[in-house]
Amino acid sequence: MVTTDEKGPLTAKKKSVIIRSCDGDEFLVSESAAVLSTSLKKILEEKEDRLIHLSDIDNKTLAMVIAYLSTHADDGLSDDLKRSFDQEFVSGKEFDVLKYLVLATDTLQVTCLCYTVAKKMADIMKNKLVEWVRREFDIQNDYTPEAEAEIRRLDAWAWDDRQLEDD
Amino acid sequence: MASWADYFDLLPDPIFLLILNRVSDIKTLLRCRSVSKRFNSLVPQADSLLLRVDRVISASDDGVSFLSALFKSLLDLISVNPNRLPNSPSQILRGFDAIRSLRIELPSGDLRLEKGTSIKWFARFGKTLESCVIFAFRNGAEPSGDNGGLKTRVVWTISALIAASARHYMMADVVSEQHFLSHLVVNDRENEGTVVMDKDGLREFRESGGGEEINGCGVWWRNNRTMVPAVAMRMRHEAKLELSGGMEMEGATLVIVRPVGGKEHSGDEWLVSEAFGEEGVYAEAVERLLNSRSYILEMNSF
Repeated sequence: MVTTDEKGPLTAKKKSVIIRSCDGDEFLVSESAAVLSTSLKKILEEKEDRLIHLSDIDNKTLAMVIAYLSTHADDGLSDDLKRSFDQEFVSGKEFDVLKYLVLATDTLQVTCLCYTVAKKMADIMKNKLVEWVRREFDIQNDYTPEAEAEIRRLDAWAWDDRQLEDD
Repeated sequence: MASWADYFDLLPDPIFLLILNRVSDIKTLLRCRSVSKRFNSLVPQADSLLLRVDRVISASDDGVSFLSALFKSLLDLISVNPNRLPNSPSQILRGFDAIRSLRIELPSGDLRLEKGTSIKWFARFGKTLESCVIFAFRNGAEPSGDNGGLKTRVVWTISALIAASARHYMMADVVSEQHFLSHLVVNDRENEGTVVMDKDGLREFRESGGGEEINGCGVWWRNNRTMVPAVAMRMRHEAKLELSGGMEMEGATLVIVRPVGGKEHSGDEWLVSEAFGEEGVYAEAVERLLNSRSYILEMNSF
């Protein structure tokens, strides 16, 4: 467990870890940032090796999670600044980006970010057409047309003429 | 790398539920049941829900929908409808069996006071009323006939207590059927009134046998609301309040209601800040009123 920021090059080397994405790119991350992920913390406690290979997280997603971890490990930032960072972090992101981010935060056990991303995904899902949900989650409709009609009939009141969105 | 094609299979149930719980809106969730069989199997496990009552709709042709019934029970407190309605909130919620936190948002407040009068109330319930904070005032710009005497203030108070106990009554079936429910809020989009039942209150309500016993008192309004117990009302008022934002309130009244001999021992300050928060025009007004002279009125059960 590292409590202070590294100063010289020698300690910096000791207190950093290298994280490799499934695309093969490597990211140098301070240990104080890495241990904010419960999974990474466990790995670091168990092995000497400072290289961690994540076989199911791609470059783009990993870079985002690391940006989040580094910001939250920065003792120079106030909690208020961190909170507004969290909001901005998800605000402009597409559903297609968020859905991989939520998987990565689950794998890495970054609970706080996981909740923030899930909330943002949920906000986007509201008032969307069923077809939109199928497309964005890549879901095969496994109902027969009759079964789907029956399901819709059961909750007919939820299908009023409210404007539903498809983008 | 997670490919586009198998994304949904990769998504673990707990994360999927995390997202559904944040969707929370019951209409969206019910529509999602038709997305796929997996969606359909997970939607009923959502534990944090919001039932937003948009407007009166007719769900089917076999009678009155619960939404219009809701309006009847709240707006027309005198009407007696002995029949169980075909489309009640509990019926809608029957599709969910793990609800822990539920908020029901009604389209509007229930009270229709004279023009220019605003009222807000916040009530806690167990099997019966535990506390209620009521704040009412007249808009300074509206000319008013009477000067807001004691009679008016008592009418405001009773109206709010009736509205609160009507909403409480409406929830009886939901509370007895949703065994995991530990937090229930009923409010409205106009932000007029809020009923809150917490874990202890919900347990007390269930242990008392639900709505049957409470309403078995043989009075004419028994189908519409629960009994209000004998209460002590601590009342404070100011003929005129000028607030920092330039707003003027006339006849500003703060009433804190507690049952006589009840278990609610929280201080006035605590109850008021729970009801109106720490910031904003109402918080400022009630804080000023807390410093005013108060008097207590007692009222029998009704």
